[in-house]
Amino acid sequence: MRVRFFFFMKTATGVDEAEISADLAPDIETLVRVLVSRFGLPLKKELLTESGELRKDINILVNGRNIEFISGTATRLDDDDTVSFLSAVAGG
Amino acid sequence: MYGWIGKLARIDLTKKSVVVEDLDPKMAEEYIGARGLGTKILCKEVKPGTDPFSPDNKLIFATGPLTGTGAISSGRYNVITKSPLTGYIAASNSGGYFPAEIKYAGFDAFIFEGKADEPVYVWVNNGKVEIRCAKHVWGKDTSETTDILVAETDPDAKVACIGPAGENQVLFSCVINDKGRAAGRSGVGAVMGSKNLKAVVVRGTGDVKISDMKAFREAMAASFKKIREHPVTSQGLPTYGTPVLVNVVNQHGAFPTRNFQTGVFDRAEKISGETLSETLLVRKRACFACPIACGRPTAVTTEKYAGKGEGPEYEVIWAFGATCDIDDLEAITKANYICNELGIDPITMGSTLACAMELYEKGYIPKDATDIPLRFGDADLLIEAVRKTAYKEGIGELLAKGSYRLAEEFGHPELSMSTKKQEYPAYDPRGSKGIGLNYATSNRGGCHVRGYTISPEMLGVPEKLDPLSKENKAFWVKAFQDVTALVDSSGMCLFTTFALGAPDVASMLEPATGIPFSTEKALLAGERIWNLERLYNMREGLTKDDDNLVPRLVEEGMPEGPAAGQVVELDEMLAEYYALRGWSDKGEPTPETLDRLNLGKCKSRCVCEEA
Repeated sequence: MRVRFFFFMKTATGVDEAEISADLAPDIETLVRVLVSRFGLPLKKELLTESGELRKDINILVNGRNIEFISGTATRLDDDDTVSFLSAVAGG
Repeated sequence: MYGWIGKLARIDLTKKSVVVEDLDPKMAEEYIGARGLGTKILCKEVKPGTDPFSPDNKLIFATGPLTGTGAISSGRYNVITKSPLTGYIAASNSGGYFPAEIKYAGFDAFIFEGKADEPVYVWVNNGKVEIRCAKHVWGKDTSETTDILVAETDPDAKVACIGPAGENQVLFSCVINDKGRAAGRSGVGAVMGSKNLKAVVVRGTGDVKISDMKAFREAMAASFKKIREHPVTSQGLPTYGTPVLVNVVNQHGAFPTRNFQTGVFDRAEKISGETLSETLLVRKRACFACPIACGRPTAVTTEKYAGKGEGPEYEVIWAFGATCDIDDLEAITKANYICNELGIDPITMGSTLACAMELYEKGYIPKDATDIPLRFGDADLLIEAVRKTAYKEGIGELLAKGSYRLAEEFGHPELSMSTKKQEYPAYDPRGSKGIGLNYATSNRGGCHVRGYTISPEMLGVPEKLDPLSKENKAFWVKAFQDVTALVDSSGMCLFTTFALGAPDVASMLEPATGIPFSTEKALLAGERIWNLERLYNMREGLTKDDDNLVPRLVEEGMPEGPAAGQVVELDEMLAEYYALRGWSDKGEPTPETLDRLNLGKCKSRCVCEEA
């Protein structure tokens, strides 16, 4: 699957996007774990609270839909999905 | 008075006379200031049916009780008048340093009446108001006008002025203050131009009296803490400014492209906020007393588009970018500079161009009816089209009327992406249903800053709402509209509301003014202001049929992307909205609602001026 990083996530990972196999990360919860393992502390700080929960102020979209309105962190992932990590950054 | 200065300057441009009046304390308490105060004055003093360009229309510059106090982001004022674009109320909001200077010069508001027989500017210096000849700056752009008028008045003076577009009464011209901050929408600059009023120059060394400074400082400190701790106001906006929304909205499939023909722009990266930051951004800039500092001065060095100035903001990147199918960020930025210099609202400008492009490509605008080809994707067209519009040259004569009148002229008004003849901003409601209801019910026509439901629908602030659901959106739209009316009227910036709510505004209003302001009372004032705007519009002929969205949004499914197949279920949301507002099924406030809001004298649409 295509994983895209925006704003602070991009700064934390140093890349615009990454390719992750759905075999390795079949759902969002696993994907977050895989990404934190790959990109380390800077991304962990952006994604997780000190107690290890997903921060409420970030938005994760699967094919443009917020996981909040799919199945949350249990949302299943396929290889042809696009997952976007967005911070609650601004209004206009 | 505390918070308010307690003085209004009534400036009759026909008679060249100035009368200083006391601000009615009851009116101030009920309508707060800025947007609310201006609305109240407009309702009272301008007769129904007045031509927006008639000397009988009034142009009101109004601050709020918090403007200039040092409260967070308290550098705002509103320009209120009858809009020549919509025929309904216009209340356009701007920041910078000009608004606080109005207070320091000894006034809460200026009421401009009549029409000067030749170009003039008004010089306000510490309580003295003088009407001066402006022939020497008529025709000049906003930066040059500002420089000349500062040089001949006071080096610390602040200037709000119109450019050639306002002079030529382009229906969507704006008032520019502090070189690049704009009271942007609904054509307030055109009304200023119709009065032959080129500029207002203000210098003040006075102060704003605070009733209880200790309590005010405590309230400010508590609010600053919230601003510092909220990710949007402490990190997002300061780091990236508004252009960062390009990717957010495009990822949601709600980034209007090719005149709202789709919601996905495949070259969004080329015009994104991140790209802007990496290429053209010079530094950040803050308005008066603002810790957020979302301003984005930029510079373009490429010879073809060379220049420097303020922005572009997110809305402008969209207006000259995706909706015109253009991915050249330098061309977009240059077009924005020119809009600022000539005094044009870039949202309506870009949207009108996109409408013209669709009309042209579909053959509805014949090739011989325009002196420039109006093709989607043509970046070189932008600058020429903006100039032609400001000076009403060639096709610019028609573009200067906005997209609705343009599309109507060529027999296809349905291709104008507007409500109440004002163009939608940069969010496709098929991918964000709440903003659709807000566009439909906004008192000034298509507008995002009347009820910014994008915040919960896309940013997840203050909580995540499903953008594709219609459920409960009426509640959120009403709540956002009422809070926004309160904030706009207080003199604070709307961007504070990512972190602050009505209780925070009330907590600053009370010690600033010395008048008790509970959260409920403050919100009631916001609701009162919203309803008075509605009553004003009804007086000018508005019916529920005007609470609409164009057929493309309610009938044509989004063709692709995350919102594919979606339309806006407006009728269902609208019925719920009317009920929540306490309006009849015709969209009119009921007598009970009017009594609850102390608008009881407005029981007929024809007498709201007596409220």
